[in-house]
Amino acid sequence: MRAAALILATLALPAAAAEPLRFVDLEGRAVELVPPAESEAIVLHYWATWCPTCGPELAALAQAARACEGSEVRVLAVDVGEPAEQVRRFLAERPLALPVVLDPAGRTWRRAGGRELPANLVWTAREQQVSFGPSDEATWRARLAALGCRGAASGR
Amino acid sequence: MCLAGDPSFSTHGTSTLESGKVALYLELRGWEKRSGSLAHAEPDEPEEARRPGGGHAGHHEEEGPSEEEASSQRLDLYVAWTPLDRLTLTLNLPWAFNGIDEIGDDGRTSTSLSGFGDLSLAASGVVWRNRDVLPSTWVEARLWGKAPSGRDEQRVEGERDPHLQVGTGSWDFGAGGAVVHRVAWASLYASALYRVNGEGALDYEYGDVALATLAVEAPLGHALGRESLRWLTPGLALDLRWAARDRQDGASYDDSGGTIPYLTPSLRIALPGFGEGRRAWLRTGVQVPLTNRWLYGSQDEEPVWSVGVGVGL
Repeated sequence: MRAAALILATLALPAAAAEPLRFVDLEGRAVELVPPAESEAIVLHYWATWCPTCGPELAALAQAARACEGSEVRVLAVDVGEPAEQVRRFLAERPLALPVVLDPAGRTWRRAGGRELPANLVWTAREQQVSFGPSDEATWRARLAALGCRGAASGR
Repeated sequence: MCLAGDPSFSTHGTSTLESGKVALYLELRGWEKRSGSLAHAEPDEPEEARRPGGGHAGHHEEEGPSEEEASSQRLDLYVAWTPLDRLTLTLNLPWAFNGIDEIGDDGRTSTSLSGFGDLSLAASGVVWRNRDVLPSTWVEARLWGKAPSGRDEQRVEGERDPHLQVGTGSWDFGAGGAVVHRVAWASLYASALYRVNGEGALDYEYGDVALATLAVEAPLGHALGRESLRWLTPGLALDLRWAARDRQDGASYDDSGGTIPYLTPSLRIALPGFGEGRRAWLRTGVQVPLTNRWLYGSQDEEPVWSVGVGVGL
C-alpha cells in the first residue's frame, strides 16, 4: 500500500488533440503509436537503467501485464534518454517480458509533464493520465484491471 | 554592502530548467551593518576633507570619528529563461531601500533612499553532465554582468552618500562555476564567483569580490522515506565572501572589505495547485555571520533574512 501512496501526482490531459507518439526500438527503427480507439488503452511506463526503483517495478509491471494478453490494453516500457546499447545490456541481465521502446531525448516524457522517473502515461480515447513514482504489483494489477485487462486484479 | 550567497542557488536550488522553460522568483531580503562612517564631501572639496574611513567631512568636519548603521531591504525579481538545452539566462531587477543612521557627537542622523537598483544578467552553461535526462551530476560555467541602471548620485539633505545610493554607477563583471551532485537523500552544491567591480558614481569604487557557497538540500520525503513530507526541502549552506577594500578618490576606505563566513539554513516549501508540469515554491532563509573578525577595519554585520516565492512556467 505504501507504494500506492507514492503516486505523487496524477494529471489528466484531454486526448482529443493527441498526436501520435514517436519512439525508436532497440534496433533503431522508428515506432509510432497512434491515438487509441474508443475501446483501447495504451500504458507507457517510463524508466531508465540508472533509476534504482525502476528495475523492481519493471518486473512487477511485467508480471501484472500478463493479464492484458488478448485484451485491448497495450503495455510498453519506455526507456528515457539512454542509448540502445546501454538498455540492451541491462535487459540482457534482467530479461523483461514487455515490449521496450526508447525515448532518446525524453520528448514524449517531457510532453507528458515528466519531472522524474519512473512515470506513467495511460492513454485512452478520452484522456491521457500521467502519474509519477513507483507502484507495486498489486497496484499495477488494479490499475490494469480498471483499463480492461481480464484477470489482472486476481492475478490469474 | 555586497551580499554573500549564490542567487542561482536561492532561485533554483539544485534543480535545472528545461529548454524553453521560464521561472520567476521574487525575493525580499533585509540586513543591517555597522561600520565607521564614510566621508561625504563633494568631489570638488579638498582631499583632506573627504578622506574615507573615519574622517567625517562636510558639515561634520570639525567632529571626531563617527559610526554609521546601515539598514537595507532589497526586493529582487529574478527571471530565468532557458532558451537552449544547457544554457540558462537570469535577469535580476532589484528594488532597494537603503537607510543610514550616522552616529556622531551631535547624535543620530537618519537618511534613506529607495528605488530601482542596478540590472544584472547571469548566464549559466552546463559544460558537463553525466546524462542528458535527469542528470545527477553536472558542472556549470557562469558569467555575470551588472549595468549602472539605478540612480547613483542622489542628494539627501545636501549630501551624496555612495552607500545610500540604490545604484553604484559602475559596470561590474564576474565569472565562476558550479557543481551539483545528487545522492539518494540529498543534493550537494558548490559554486564560486569572482566579481570585478568598476569605478562608479561619486568617485567610489566597491572592492572586487569573491563569493563561494557550499550547500546541501535534502527533500524530506526522500531523506526520511515519508512521501507526506515531500513538499519540504530544508537546506544548509556555508556562504563565504571575500572583498577587497572599497576605494574613494583612489584612497582605501578602511572600514570595508575582508572575509566573512555565513551559515545559512533555509527551507523550501512546494506550493500545491500547480499542475501540468508547473511548480511553485516558497523559500525562506537566514544568513548568520559566523564571525566578523576577519572583516577589515570597524565593521559589524548582522544576519541577512530572506523570503521569496517562485514559480516555474
